[in-house]
Amino acid sequence: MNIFECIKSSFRNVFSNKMRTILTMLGIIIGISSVILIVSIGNGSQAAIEEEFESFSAGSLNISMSTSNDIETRDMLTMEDYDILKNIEGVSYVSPQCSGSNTYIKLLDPKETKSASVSGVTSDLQYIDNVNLLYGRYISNNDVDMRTNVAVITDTTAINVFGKCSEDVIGQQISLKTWKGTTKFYVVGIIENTNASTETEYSDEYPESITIPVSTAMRLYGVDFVTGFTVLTESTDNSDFMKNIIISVLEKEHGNEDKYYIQDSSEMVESINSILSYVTLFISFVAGISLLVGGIGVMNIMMVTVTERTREIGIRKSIGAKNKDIRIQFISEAVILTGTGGLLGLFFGYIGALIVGNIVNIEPVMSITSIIAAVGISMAIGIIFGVTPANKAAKLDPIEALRYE
Amino acid sequence: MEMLRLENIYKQYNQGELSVTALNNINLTVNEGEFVSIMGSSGSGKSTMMNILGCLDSPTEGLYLLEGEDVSKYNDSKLAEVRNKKIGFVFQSFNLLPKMTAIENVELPMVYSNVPIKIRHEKAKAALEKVGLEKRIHHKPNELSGGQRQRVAIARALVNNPAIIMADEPTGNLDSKSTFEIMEIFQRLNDEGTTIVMVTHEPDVATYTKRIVTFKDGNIINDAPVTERTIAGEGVN
Repeated sequence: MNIFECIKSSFRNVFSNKMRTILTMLGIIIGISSVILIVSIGNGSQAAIEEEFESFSAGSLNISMSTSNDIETRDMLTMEDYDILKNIEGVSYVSPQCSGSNTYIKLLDPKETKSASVSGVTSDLQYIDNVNLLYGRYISNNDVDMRTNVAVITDTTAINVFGKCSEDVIGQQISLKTWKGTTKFYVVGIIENTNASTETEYSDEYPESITIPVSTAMRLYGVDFVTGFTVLTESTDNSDFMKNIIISVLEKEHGNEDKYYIQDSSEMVESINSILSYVTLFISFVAGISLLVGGIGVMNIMMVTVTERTREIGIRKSIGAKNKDIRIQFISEAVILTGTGGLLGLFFGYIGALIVGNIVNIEPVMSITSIIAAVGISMAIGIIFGVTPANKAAKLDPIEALRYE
Repeated sequence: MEMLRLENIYKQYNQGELSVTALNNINLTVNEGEFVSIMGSSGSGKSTMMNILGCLDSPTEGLYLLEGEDVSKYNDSKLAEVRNKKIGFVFQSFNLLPKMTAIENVELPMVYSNVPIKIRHEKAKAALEKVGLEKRIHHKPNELSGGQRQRVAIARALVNNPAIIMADEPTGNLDSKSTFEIMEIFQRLNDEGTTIVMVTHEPDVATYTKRIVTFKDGNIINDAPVTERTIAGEGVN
């Protein structure tokens, strides 16, 4: 009996009892669809997190004050630390970060303002953050030295403030309101907002981000210290070593201990991803149990089918079916049962992922690997749980089977 | 020409410690074109005889030559092949697959011998025409009468051009009219050269055949030609 013939007749047998077939498939459908749902949502959120962190280039280190300890004035990070950090071997770029609170920007409608997140930086940040400059230029060293009132804004801010994002915006002024009053800044450059997609989604929660020279920012907020530093090292391989050096240099300079904290962007992505993959793994494990139960259900039904069809097996054997033919027939019926269940599970899982993704705002990612794995695993379940019933069928004695009522 | 020969065939069944001898030193030869009845009361060994002749079972001891081929020591797989190519079964309870149409049932033996679908279709149609069911080829068994079902079974038995047709009480579930029809078909096929071995316990059905072999307690007690043969159809001599 050729394989095509066998598959054709198996399809017919499997779908001749629709109700039973669907009920038997249910375990597989539920198992596969939950795996697909979980994995595609998991992959989707992983991709979203990676995109979120894309703005930090790999290996960039964020130095900040520890929040848990009492901070004294001598512990504050200053521009002197900036000069020290610049000269550490292995450090390619350093930018101070100086940001203040309660800053508002005037929008297109002169009566409206929106909170702004202002960062004082040096020109190095464009290399650390992989800035994509759309128009104009970035903050220059001269701006920092001269404390000029210039600003680099994002494309989304340009639209919110000027109603457009074009060359014309360069040279125009934005107004920033702090507790000290209103200050005007000339726009010198527009950069791409890498978080545009998420920010538009929650535009009210995200402040407009404005980049100005660090020296200007310190004057704006009336401070003589900075919030922290962003450092890009020459190599990402020895980031732990670099972290230790930077911390020890800063501690030596300030004569203190345990006051500084370094966050490694790649480490953060990794740790979030590893939590995510544990969650995915755990839920997949639970779904795997449902597949196991589904497989046992398939085996049970196949056992019943073999008993019910004993006479048919006898007839087939009497007209020349070999044990092998009978075995292949029942295995292929089991595989068709679970394979169809797998395909349906794939379909329902994807639909479910789209629905859940819509609710939690994550675009599900369904990889080819997961499709192949889902169908492959469900078919493998058919083989594994179909072999025993198929062997039982194949080994039936034709004389006994023909006599079976 | 010799179609099958049994030499010193023994068949023993072991039931626990008890050993039952179903066939005791059977010697039998059937030539091509013969139409043989096997008769006997229940427990006489005629069913065991049928199973061995039909290659559904192997003898415990002895030699079984089918068309000169010794099939007595064959394994399951080889026996299946012999059943497929050389033997056509007709059973008392028809044994058609209920979910398949008449023509699909007839095609089934050819499915197992990998006959291409087109040829299979033509041959199955021709076989159904031979038993007068050309108008019922797409009917399922439950849409056919008992006699018609048995005719489908005969078409299925014929379709692979077997060396021999084994009929096990083929008229046991049929009324006298259908019995007559079936025997007419058997006699016609036999006249065309098909060798038929039929198990029956009805003496009047046996008179349609040409030779009666009678079993008792696992032995052949009588083997004689039919003297007053019943002819079912016209043009049969």
